[in-house]
Amino acid sequence: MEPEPSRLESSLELSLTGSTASLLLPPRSRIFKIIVIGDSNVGKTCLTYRFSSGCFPGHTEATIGVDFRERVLDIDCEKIKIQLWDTAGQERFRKSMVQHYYRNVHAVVFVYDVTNLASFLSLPSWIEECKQHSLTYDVPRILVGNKCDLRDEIQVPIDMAQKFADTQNMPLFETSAKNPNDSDHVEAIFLTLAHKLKCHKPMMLSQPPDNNKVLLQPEQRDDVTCWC
Amino acid sequence: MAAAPEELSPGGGARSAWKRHIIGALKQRDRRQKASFQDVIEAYSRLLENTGLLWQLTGKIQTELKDPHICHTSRSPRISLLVPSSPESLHAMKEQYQEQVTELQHTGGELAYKIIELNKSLVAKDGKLEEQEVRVSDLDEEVQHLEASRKCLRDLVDLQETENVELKVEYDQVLKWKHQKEEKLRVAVHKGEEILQEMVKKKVQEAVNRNRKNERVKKIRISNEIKKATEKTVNIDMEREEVMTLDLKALSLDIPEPQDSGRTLNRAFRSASATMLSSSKLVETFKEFFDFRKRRVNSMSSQSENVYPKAPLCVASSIPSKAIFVLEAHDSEVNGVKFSPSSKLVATGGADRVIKLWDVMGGRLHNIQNLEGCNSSITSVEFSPSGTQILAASSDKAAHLWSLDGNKSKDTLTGHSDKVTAAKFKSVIHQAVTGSMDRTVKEWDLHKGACLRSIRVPSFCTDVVCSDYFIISGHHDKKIRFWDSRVTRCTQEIPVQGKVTSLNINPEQTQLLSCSRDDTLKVIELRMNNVRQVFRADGFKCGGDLTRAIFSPDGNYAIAGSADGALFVWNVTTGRLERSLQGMHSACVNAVAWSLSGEYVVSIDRKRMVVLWSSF
Repeated sequence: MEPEPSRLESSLELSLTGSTASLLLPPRSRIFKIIVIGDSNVGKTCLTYRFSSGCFPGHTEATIGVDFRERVLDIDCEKIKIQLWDTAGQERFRKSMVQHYYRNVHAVVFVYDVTNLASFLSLPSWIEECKQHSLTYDVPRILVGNKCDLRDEIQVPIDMAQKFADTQNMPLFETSAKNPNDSDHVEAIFLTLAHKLKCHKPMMLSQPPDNNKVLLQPEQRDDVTCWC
Repeated sequence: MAAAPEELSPGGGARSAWKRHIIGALKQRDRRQKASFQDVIEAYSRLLENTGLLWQLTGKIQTELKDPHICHTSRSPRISLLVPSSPESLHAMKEQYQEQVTELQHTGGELAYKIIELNKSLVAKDGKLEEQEVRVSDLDEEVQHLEASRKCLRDLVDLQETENVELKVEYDQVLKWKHQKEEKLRVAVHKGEEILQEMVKKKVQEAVNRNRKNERVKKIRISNEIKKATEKTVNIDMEREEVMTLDLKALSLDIPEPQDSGRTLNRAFRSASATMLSSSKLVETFKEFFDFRKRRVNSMSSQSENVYPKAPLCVASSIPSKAIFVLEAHDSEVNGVKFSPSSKLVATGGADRVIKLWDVMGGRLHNIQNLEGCNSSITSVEFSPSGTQILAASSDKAAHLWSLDGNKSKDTLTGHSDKVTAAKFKSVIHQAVTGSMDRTVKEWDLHKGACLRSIRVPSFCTDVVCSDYFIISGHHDKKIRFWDSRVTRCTQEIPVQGKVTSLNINPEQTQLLSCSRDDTLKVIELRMNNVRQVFRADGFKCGGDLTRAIFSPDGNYAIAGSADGALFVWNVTTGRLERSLQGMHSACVNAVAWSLSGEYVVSIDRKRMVVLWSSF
């Protein structure tokens, strides 16, 4: 029942390295806080680990509270620090922390497991929690279906997921933290998200342009990237 | 008698010869006399005996009569002795005895019968007895068997008991072991919980620290940006104006990010920009940049005619406190009410298809004019910003435009296929927008009276407002949609919790007030597109599908009428209910209008009443 001390250390280490890294970064570089939300055991820790360190963690345990993983990206010659908040999925591990997750968040990633229909069906309740914390409309939210390398066990067909994502106005990505070459690359997903955050562009076409920003460059609005 | 002489002594022979002779002679006389009396004596003695016997008999018979059972049989041998002595009594006795004999024979017969019977029963009883004995012996055998088996079972029982005892001992041991393990488990779980709590606490702390650090970094960045921006010099120069405005706007991009401190900062910045450049020129340059469509319009003499001159802004509006005038204004329910921009006129329109114009003078409403021409009930009334035209949306699938200045002309905008719920003037002159239940929002050119553009919407449109850049429509499907002026695409959808019944935009065009059927009013910040305030009140119920709520002319308050006839006024900045005005309306309040001077409020209800409120 006792969590391995090594797990705690590793997250602390990462956070320490992150903080030292942030000290080294010029103070003008922006920090984007992206929270990863979803049911327990869908693969949030593996996804964030994959993005932050480039490899798949062999042995993971239920995340308690939150783990922080950071990575500095270089987008258009600007150093952007992505601070990933790998949140706990189990209710008892997250109950006192929810308002801290959503405070000043820049983007929300909803994760479900394609081999577990229940994790997909509980997405509305996660989205509802997100809504209750009154995020502004320009906080991009994306939907990620993990574990798509387990092709024989898929329970959530992609059309169902796409339909749901469309009703919620979120882009859908199917990926695998274990086999990143399967479907969308984990790296690509986060990079795109970071790019959008940096340019303050909307994730989906029907999201509003920020009134005081994009209007100055009208020609950019025609540049629509296809999300399929 | 004759016995004595024999005993005399034999010696006296010679003397005794004569004595012996005398004695002998006496003896012979004795014998002779005795012989004659001998028979009589014998008969006499016999008689004596008989009488004696008879005496005894009679005595016995007497006793027999008293007690016939005794000596019945013993009589018989005595009786046989007496048979030969006396014939009469013998006969009687014989009869008697014969009777007795027959009796006895009877009884003998009975007894014999009884004997037979008793014998039979005896035999039967003997048989039974034998049976019983046989049974008893059987049962005895059985009892023996049972005793034997009982003994066996008892042995078994003893064996089981010993085994049980052993098992119980084992069980006790195992139980004790289990208790120990459970205790250990409990302790371990408890410890685990504690460790978990600690970890969670640490994590919470870490999250809080991170959030703070992020905020700090952001603040530092923003203060740097602000410093940069304030150090920049701005030239009030016609040629360079566009460039400058672009720069300013570029810097102000980052400002709205911090939610808490940003708002005051935003305001300060705006006022700075407003004072640095003349406002009308700024508006014009913005219009030039963003309103491409205007270039296509043919009649364009000078730039300043494209927009209405800005209406006088209200400095402060006072919340009304009492009703100063009540009037039954129409013949049927009243749906729309508006003040003219000059605050002198009030227009009301309702289901009786007439728009009535009232003059507000001295705290009273005087009917000046009636505008007719609608074929069905009027759903909303609107004055043009110049005050010379009135646009009314009507259920006869058209919007009607009256001109109030000299020529009194009337135009009709037809084209909708269902009732028109709202018609508003755009900020560009001679243009209007209508929303309708036929699921379209149409833009009109009022000179030509023709529809310029028709936007298909997914749901019935209940109200429509225009800001400089957007058309905002509220719908039955609980959504507020923003339409960009240039492209026929919904740029934004804001969901609310109930059907949208009305929309109102504040004079600075920064906030949108929406009223919806879930009995709430929402203030939506237009730049941030988020809901800033939600107004609810006890007793406030949105009474109809087209209940209108509005901002006060200074933008500080929001007022709406409720289904029970009360008016509710909320403060926009604090969100509190400031006042509720009750008692004047007896039916659902359909719409409210607030004069631009801030003094008067007019409310209308379903029961044809118009109430004028004031705070003085």
